[in-house]
Amino acid sequence: MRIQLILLVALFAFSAIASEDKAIKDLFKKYDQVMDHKQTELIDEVFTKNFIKSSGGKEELIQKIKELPKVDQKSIPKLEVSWKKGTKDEVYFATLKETSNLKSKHSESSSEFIILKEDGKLKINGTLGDGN
Amino acid sequence: MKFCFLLLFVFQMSWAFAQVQDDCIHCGQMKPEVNKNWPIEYIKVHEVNYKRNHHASFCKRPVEIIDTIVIHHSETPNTDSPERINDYHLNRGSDSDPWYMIGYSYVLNTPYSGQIFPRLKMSEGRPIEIVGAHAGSNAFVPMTEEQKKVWAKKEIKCGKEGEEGVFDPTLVKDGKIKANLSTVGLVVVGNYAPFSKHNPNGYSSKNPRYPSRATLDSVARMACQLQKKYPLIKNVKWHSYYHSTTCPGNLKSYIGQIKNLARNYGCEFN
Repeated sequence: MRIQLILLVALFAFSAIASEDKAIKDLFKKYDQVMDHKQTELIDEVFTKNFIKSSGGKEELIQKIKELPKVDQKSIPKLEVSWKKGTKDEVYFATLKETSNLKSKHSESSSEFIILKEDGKLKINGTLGDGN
Repeated sequence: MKFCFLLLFVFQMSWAFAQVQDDCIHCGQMKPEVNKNWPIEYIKVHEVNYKRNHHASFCKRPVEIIDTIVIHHSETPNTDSPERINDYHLNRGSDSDPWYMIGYSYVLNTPYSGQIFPRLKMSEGRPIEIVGAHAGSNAFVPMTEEQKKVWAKKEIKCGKEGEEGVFDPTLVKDGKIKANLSTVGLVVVGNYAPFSKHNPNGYSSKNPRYPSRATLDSVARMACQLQKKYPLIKNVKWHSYYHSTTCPGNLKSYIGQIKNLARNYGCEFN
């Protein structure tokens, strides 16, 4: 009976982590679409309201995204996302690792993305300087 | 009625002015008289009642081991409070290696050049006697003779609150000392790096963000205040000096100016 209970709890925990993992990976796929392919209509799904406001509003954020240099389709790096949940609150920290399609080079972003839940969905609330 | 509003307005303006004066002890004076008696207060440092993780370990150090101030930017919006950064840092660790509290020892809230908000305010962060978490846990730097002497006394103790703490020999490796142990972190809240995929809080090329003169002066005041209290502090560095990072953005190019400003208060930094 006890073993069954432990297995059940482990199963629940595993499925919760798996669903969070999927949600974060989906979020960063959309982030790629916004930043690499300038699909700015997805901004509200990717960023928190607070982030958009602190970026100077939606128009300014769109302007910043459009200013980013155009990336050749072939050289757009693939992103590997690793994340961890905050130890106290409902916050997630994600790190991006880029794998360039051309050079198969790895480079890791030094920043951590802050991800919060807004209206039941995970969204990016900015980044936090590295250091530990 | 109109007179009452006018009176209220005048009262509020004088209160706001008093607040600014309160933070900036020698505002407008670029060469203040150096008070030879401690305490010297070039800038008021506000106390903050931070939440701490009582289950997390930390190390206590003799302050004589500190020789460098490291400048950071938080990468977050410049309106973020020290408490908010503390919340992020408390959440940042892992269950096996939790963070005790905010990793920086000083937090400067300040407007970007050309802006007026947020109000300039220096706050304390992690107490200076507690080893910080800011320069990078894998960064080690050569030891000075003074640091070797302090290290030899084995007075640096690590443990949790309420514990006696134990000496951690891994803080020095191959004759080099962990940068977090020998430095103190000062963060300027804000993001001084350009917008990019890895830095969505960054500035656009049309609206670059620079530190204001008051920001640089406040950092210089704080640096000098620390050197007057702890004379072994002789260097001002920046985060990317220790490892590859965009931190502290374009603040890095103002380090020389900060050192020059500190000279006005009677301090010399390498």
